[in-house]
Amino acid sequence: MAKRTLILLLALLLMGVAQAAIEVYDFSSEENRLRFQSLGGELRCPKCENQSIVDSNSPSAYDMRQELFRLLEEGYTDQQVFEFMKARFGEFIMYRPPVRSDTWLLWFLPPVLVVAGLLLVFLLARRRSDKGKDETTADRPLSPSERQLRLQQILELERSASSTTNSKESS
Amino acid sequence: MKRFLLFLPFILFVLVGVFLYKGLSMDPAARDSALLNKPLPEFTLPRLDNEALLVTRDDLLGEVFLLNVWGSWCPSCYDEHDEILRMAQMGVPVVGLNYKDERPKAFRYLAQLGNPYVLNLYEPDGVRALAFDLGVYGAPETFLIDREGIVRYHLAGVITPQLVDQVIMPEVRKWQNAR
Repeated sequence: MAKRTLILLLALLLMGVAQAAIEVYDFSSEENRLRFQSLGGELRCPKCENQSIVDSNSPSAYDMRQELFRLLEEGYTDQQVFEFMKARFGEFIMYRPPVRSDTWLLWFLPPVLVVAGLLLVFLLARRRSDKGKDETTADRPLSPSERQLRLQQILELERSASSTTNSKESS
Repeated sequence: MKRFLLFLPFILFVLVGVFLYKGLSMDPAARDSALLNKPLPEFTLPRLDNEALLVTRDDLLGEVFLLNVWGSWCPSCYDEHDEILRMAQMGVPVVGLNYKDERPKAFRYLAQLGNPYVLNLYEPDGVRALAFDLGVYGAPETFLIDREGIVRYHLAGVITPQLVDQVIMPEVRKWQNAR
């Protein structure tokens, strides 16, 4: 029973897909077909807020696709298509809004935040390694002269240690 | 300085919180029509009650009127119908734009609820004329057109009694009195 319900639900999910595939456009050229896809993806459906008009099944998105097809077949340039749609549905439908004083935040805040984040990570990392240098040199590889010195010290220790044990044994 | 850095995450949290909280009460559908303060687009559409009679933009102009986009398929249109009747009774000409509907259903709707419209234009599914050029993306939508044919007010959504009394009627009177 549960299995049957599940299958039914999954079949229902497929319905949208099947429906979306029905529309047929008879493009005069392959170029127009590609432009239809790319421009349609750039235009936001006015009804559904976060779907492009090629993704949406809403009647207004359907009308816009029909109109987009007509405009492309009539030889409109990309810019003319955008102007045409903007004049009717407003800037809302542009997935790529124009760069203007009131959209600066939208355009430039993300890169600024990324740069600020990288800077923060860099500064923190440097501070940590600075601190390490002050307290101990153990983390850093030794220079050849230091290595010699350290070797010398170890050998010295060894010698003195063995000499004490030797003296113990002999006594 | 160190103290300040410790508080930085908290300050960021508060900023983001304020931003998101504000977003909760914002209505994404409340945006100005692109047609605001622009001329009503040219069109030629048949009347709903007589498909042989064609109406153009020039036929409508002359006095301030409301253009109400509706359809019998649209539940919210039923909700606002009483308000449209009330405005019609107050003497405001309301032109209907029957949108993506079928004639018999539209006739039944008007017969049942009453007809407040001075006339109705008919733009069924598949026709992209005035409603498309006005950027209509649902119903109901209402536009206020002044004497010169300029769109002066737009509402995407249901007309409520408060909207009629506090916004729409004052706008209508304002543009009726404009010289």
